Amino acid sequence: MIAEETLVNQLQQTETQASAFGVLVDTYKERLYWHIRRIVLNHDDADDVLQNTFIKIYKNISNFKGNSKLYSWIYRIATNEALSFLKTKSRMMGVSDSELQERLVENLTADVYFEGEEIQLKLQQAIATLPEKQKLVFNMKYFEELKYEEISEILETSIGGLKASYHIATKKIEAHLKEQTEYL
Amino acid sequence: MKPFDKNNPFKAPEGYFKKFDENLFKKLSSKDLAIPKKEGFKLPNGYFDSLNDKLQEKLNAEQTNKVVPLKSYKKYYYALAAAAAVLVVALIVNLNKTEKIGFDDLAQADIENYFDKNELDLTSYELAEVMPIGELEMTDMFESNFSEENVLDYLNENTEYLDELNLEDNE
Repeated sequence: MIAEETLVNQLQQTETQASAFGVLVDTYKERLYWHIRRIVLNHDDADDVLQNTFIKIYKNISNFKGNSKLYSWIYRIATNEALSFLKTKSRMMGVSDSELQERLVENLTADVYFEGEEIQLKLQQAIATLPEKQKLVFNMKYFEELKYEEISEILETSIGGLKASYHIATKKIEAHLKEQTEYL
Repeated sequence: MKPFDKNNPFKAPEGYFKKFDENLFKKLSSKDLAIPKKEGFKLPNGYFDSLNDKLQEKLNAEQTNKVVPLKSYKKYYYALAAAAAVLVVALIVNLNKTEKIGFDDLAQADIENYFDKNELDLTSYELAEVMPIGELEMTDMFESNFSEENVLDYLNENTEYLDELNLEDNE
């Protein structure tokens, strides 16, 4: 795997930019896709946001000063793109953020790219009830298996705060699932 | 110590102890996984393989068709600044300019209005001194033209002392 510093240098040189960008896309496309997909839930939306994220990275790579790590800069762009995509969507639909979350989960039942069972649907419903920050932290820690140090760099939050958010999020999800399964 | 009773009446299922460890760990791990790890998300076949090409196409399209942002106010800011500068200069020039107003700038109606509204305290003689009588014609006094015959009839009827008028031609 190419060293991050070398990749950044190549991305900032006109002659090597195109090939370096190919390497960057190959390195991060899957990780970023799943990161975005867990926020927007729908495949087509995730595809749009992922492409916009890479284009934004390509256009702004000259402004990357190396104050943070490349992956955390990239993840930050992807997170912001996905969150602003949802904000625009809720504004266009004339619904609140929480209403949009409910609708996104409801739509999963008819989504051809979702083959979850009842428990997976309940899990998504539980995650949808979380505040934005707890949702991000839970997904990044539980599913993406990122380290607290990495999440801390991406979300620019203290590790202590992240641990607290993750703990609260986990408890809430467990309680929600327990409550749901008792009704089944 | 008593030896073990060789005739143990209890029996365990066949292979129970062999599978015990496996079953125990299965139970332990299922307890840990109160939240499922499987999410149920799928994606189209070959999605990641085609992503690079799609991105390249999008970038090429953006580079060939430089999109003019819809909300580009930059040029308007320059125009606005220029217009404001012109306005300020024009205002300064106009404020410094003291235009001399002449008699000719007054409207005829304003002059008439002034004479109507103000007592001039001028006698007929004083007026006669400044008015070039010799150059006046009867038509300068009246807006309508009167025939000489009508004027004479009027004077004849309304003037007691016609001779005082000193109308030499009519003597």
